[in-house]
Amino acid sequence: MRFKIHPAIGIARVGDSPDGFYLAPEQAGGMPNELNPDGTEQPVTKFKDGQGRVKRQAARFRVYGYDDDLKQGKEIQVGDQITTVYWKTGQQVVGEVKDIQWTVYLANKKASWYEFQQLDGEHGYGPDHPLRNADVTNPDERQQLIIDPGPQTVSYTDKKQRVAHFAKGQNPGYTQSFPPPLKPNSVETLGELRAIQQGQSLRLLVLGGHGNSGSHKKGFGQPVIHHYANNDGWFDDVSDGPVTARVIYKVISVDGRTTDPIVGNNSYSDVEVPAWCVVGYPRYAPMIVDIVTMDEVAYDVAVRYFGYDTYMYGTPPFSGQKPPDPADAKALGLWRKSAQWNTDYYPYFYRDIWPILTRPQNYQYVFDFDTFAGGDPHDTSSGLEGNFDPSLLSVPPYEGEDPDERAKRRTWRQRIWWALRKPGQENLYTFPPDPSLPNYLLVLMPFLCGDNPLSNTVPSKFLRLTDTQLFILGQWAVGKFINERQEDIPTTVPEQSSLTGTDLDRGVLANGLGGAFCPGGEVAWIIRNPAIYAEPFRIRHSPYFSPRVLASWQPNPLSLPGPLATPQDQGSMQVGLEPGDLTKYGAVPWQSDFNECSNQPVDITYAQWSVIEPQSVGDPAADVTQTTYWWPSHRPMEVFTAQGGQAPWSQGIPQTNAGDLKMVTAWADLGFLNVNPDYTPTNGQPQYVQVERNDENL
Amino acid sequence: MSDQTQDTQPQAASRYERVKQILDAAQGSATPSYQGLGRFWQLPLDTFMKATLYNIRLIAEPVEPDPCDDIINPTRSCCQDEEPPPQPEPPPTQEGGGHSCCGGDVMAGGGGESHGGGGGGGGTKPSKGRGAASGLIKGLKGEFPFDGTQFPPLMWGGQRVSASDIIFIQSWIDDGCPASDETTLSLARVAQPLVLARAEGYEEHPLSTKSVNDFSYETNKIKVRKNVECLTPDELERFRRVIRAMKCYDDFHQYDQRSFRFWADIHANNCQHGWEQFLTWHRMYLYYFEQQMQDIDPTVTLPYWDWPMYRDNVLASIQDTQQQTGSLDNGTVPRAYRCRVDRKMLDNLKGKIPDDTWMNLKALFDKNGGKDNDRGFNSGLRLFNAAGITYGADPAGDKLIIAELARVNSLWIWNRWPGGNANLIFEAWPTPEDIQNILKIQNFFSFGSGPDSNHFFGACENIHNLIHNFSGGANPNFGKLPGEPQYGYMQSAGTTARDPIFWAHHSNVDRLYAEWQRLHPGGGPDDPEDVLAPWPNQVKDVEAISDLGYEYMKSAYVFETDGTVALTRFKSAATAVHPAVLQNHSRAEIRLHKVQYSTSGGAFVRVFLNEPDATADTPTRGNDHFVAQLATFSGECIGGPGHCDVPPESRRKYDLRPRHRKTPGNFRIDATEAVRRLAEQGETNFQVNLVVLDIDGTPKPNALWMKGVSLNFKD
Repeated sequence: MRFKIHPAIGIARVGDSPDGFYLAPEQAGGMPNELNPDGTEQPVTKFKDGQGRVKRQAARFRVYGYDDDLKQGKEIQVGDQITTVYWKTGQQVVGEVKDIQWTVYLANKKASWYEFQQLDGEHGYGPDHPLRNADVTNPDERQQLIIDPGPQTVSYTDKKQRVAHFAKGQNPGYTQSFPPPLKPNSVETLGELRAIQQGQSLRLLVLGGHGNSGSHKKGFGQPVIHHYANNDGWFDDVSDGPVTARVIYKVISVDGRTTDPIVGNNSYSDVEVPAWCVVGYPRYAPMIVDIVTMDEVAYDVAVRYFGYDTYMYGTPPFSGQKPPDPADAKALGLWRKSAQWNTDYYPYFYRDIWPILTRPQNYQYVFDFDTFAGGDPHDTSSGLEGNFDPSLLSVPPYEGEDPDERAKRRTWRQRIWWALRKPGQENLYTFPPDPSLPNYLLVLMPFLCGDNPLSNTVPSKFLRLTDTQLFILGQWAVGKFINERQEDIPTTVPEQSSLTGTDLDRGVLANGLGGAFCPGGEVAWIIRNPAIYAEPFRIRHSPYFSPRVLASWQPNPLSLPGPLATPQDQGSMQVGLEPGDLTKYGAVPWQSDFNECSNQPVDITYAQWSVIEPQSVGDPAADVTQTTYWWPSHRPMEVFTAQGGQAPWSQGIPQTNAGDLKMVTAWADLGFLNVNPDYTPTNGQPQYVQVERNDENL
Repeated sequence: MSDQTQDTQPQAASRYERVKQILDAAQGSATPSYQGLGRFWQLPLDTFMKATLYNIRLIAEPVEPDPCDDIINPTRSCCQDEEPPPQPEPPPTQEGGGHSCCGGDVMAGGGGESHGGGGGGGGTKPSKGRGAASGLIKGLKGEFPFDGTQFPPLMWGGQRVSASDIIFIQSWIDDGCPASDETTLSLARVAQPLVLARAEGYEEHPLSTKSVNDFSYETNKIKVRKNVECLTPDELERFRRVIRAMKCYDDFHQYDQRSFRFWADIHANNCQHGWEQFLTWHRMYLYYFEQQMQDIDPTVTLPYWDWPMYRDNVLASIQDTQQQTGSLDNGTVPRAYRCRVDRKMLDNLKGKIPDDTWMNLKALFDKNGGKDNDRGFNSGLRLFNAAGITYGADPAGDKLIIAELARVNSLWIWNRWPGGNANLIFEAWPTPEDIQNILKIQNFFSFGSGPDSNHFFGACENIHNLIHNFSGGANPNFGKLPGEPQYGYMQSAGTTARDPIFWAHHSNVDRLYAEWQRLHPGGGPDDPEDVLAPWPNQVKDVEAISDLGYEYMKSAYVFETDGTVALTRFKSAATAVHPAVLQNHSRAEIRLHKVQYSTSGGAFVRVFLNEPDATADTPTRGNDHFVAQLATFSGECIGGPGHCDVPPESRRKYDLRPRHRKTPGNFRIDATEAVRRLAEQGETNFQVNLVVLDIDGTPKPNALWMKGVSLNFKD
């Protein structure tokens, strides 16, 4: 039996509540669950604790066992009989599961990393790319820029070991590194681990930091924020790192014999496929799904670089070829060169297409449709008059269809398809006008900021869907899709009790931001780099932080970037990722970028973006800018209030550097979106309203 | 009980109906759209067969499209495209014994249009692997892409179909999705009461609709090379189809061993004449060629041209023709090799050749009620002459006509002007006595040809040479028209095998060699180790024709039995044997095929001819109808259950163990004397009767299981 941890990437979120927490949602747009002391759970009702402090979101991990009979895997439970290989001798042992020992290593490397300058660095940093805190030059001192609490281990059986903190002074035997006292808030911990048992299932909760950010700089004006992403002297307490586990079992037999001396002893098996945990900022509107989710980005990488679905994207003739072995670099390289889209792939309407098409309309709960750029320019409503009417969009061409009906449905689909921003159109506001096309004069979708709307160096002004999303919608547009409801094919949303490991991998990621990455939400553009993956959705672990090494607590100083010497040859993507390597690209502190990722004046006049004159700012004679939103699903703009009407979500926190500084503490007072108890589908009430805003503090 | 009973039994629905039932049941009450097709299996069969579900063919195209495929497996009923093949003469074969591809006994209850599944009734030719390649089958099985990769398994919204039902549907597709079951009717599907009535001897076992080689193929027995005049119309058509298919690959003849010309050229480059390898080399040559033919149709063998049988006709023809025209293009060949006009040829040529020429062909086609044309013309030139078309006057038109004649009969070629000087032919054409005489020659070299060290042409090869020269003949237009060859293909060793009649000619040579071997066991070539280039085989490898999987037979009648039911008595249908076969055969034989090992102990089988009510009490002594009595030897099973079951027909590839001890056995009973006695009493219909007896002389059940009985005649 092979063991894997799911989800492959778990997402925890900071909160200033010392103890209050809820569980990360495990489906796209799902509400988080609250965990009861008896292990049961129900959807969260309050996002804040009794004192108005934001509860943390716990990332929950589980161990699944796989073998030939369990291709979908099954979660390991206490008392399960497992067959595995005894690591000391290679003998086959049957054991009874007693416990799971979890080891996690979180770190924050932001302050030690390069400055974030939009897309510069996605394909490697140039030798002149500046470091953050460049005035700190001594390697030993730079090592101190990493918040490194060392690994922690928990297990459920020994009550004393159920909880462990990534806190200062909580790791005897390890040389920790924490920043000095900070203003306004010091970072004393990156969070904690809790081993829990739900039913017979042994699980891990990872809780992140408390949203504390501050600067160690003293003097007039300090602390100060002067940049959306790079602020020397600053630290925050988001983090990331590997999650490994060891299954502890009592030996029942060895190679079929029950007389072996080790029978009755406890032994263990390390999880072969470990996971990763990312700690991010709070999700204020968890039910609003991003136009592009982190799952869709990771899925796009999995599909196009790892043969995750070789029937959709693979090597002709698409007759069920096996995906390449991700461990075989040569085979993988060859596959990537020869793979292509299967134009006979039929996506499912309600599984693959409709969820994407409903997202723009749901954004009405996080910004004001009515006042925004002429409202809803594409009329994304699904009502009879809208362009997103499912009765027209969901019906593929079928035998015996009325030709007029078919043509009408095609036009409806094509109008949306032509309005979608395609690869190469990242810097176009509208499609080049062509009266023969159904999207004539329409703004390209999505109408959201791209990975770099800030400068004309490596620009990427507007967001577009992933290649895989566009392929799926392209198939739909030409009529190659399946309406599963017409075909009696069930589209099952998996029950909590029957979640497969893959359901968890994707469901959890679906609540993370998939763009734009400037630097992004939980993680930056690094998430779309195939080099960081060991297999689809799985981060490649640096061997210096492997399950075995971590489980045996061998401390290793974390690596530093570029011009400085690194302790070992670790610290490269080829080797694998270390603790802190996913979040280190993000803004420091996260609150500054979070505050500014509201809307943006985007310069859209210069078509030949800086090819000849890289420093040119464009043609001032025709200077046109367009105010564009970032990702209001994560950082709402306007929300419906419980009292009725709409209000700016971050009222009182201006879009300035000073506002950014205010956000460093004010984030905890902002409101969350929750279901409107008065809502019915027909009464015109908004479905979601803002709750739990600490108005008095803002 | 009569055959009528079979029709009034509540029969299972046709396979097509059953397929629809299975799918309906699995779908239940759900109504998935299936992309607008709805219950696609209820669509008209033609539509169903072409339907696609999200770009996947529910029923795959027949696998491996091949440019020659239409020839190998004609999809269209031959009734539309082709004239029925001519009835052979002389002598005609048994009446009703075979089945033409256009009707006759096999069509009872069906009607021509659904024959073979072709035509308007939906369905196409059989194609192995087609079912497995079909989206419907993949969907039912839950195979890619219906394994969740793209679709869930079928039936959507309904239930999965059982594995056995999937196999049933798959084989229905493999068989070309026949709308009705006529052509696939087998004994296994005959109503059980009839099977039992037959097993007890109350009902006749009908003459098998299969050709004798069909039966051989299915029962894994050696095949029969028949007298070309005794081929059933179906056998002749299959043979022609194979040759047509092989010729279809002639464009690639240098490298493609499927092509007819490829094989013809082997003779040009390697043939052995005038010494002892003459017989053995050609035996090998025919063997390889026949194997190639059987790749296309495993029931086809090389028929033989029994020369003396035609002596009277040849001599008459030469005399008549020479008197009338003075031409040396004056002899006759077996009718299977002649050329004739068919309706499609007229259609194809209309407007492409001058109208008067076309009218001439039409007149020829209609002349004498079509009888002249049906009989065929012994050379293409003679057809031209009979139609009043001057060969050479319109070369382009000639070419078109010749191409059409070759299409009508793939066994005919233009470069054949059979005949010769009357005096020479009169002198040399073999009589039956001549053949008997050369078979009496004891010395192999004198019969065949001499050894390497002392080589000379033997008697058999001498006659063979004559036939070559006769059937190639001299081209009357040589020297008169530009580019005309002097002789026909059969005249020259370099071209001879390009004439399909070559193969029948040499089949007869080989038959005489086999006959000589039977009469003179032990005799043979000097050097059995010699290699028969270009093949890797040695002379000794071709010594026994049974090792090569064939035997020679003038005519044969097969009666299939149900191998799953024990027979206590057996009664075949009374079968008309044509007087020519009856009068002219060297041996008559009754065979019992694939007699299974019986665990109930030994038994006796009494064999009668034309004794329809034979029982245990029917006298044998002094009974002209009694043929022989044979005994079986078996016994109680000493192993576990299934130990004495019939072993599998085919062995695994690397199963090197010797023959399985329970391999079903065959019995051969010489019926020559009994047939002669009855024929002398004026009998022309023959019926085989068997009675199974225990060792105490009482009827014995559970003793005789077998696959068939046959009545055979040898030349």
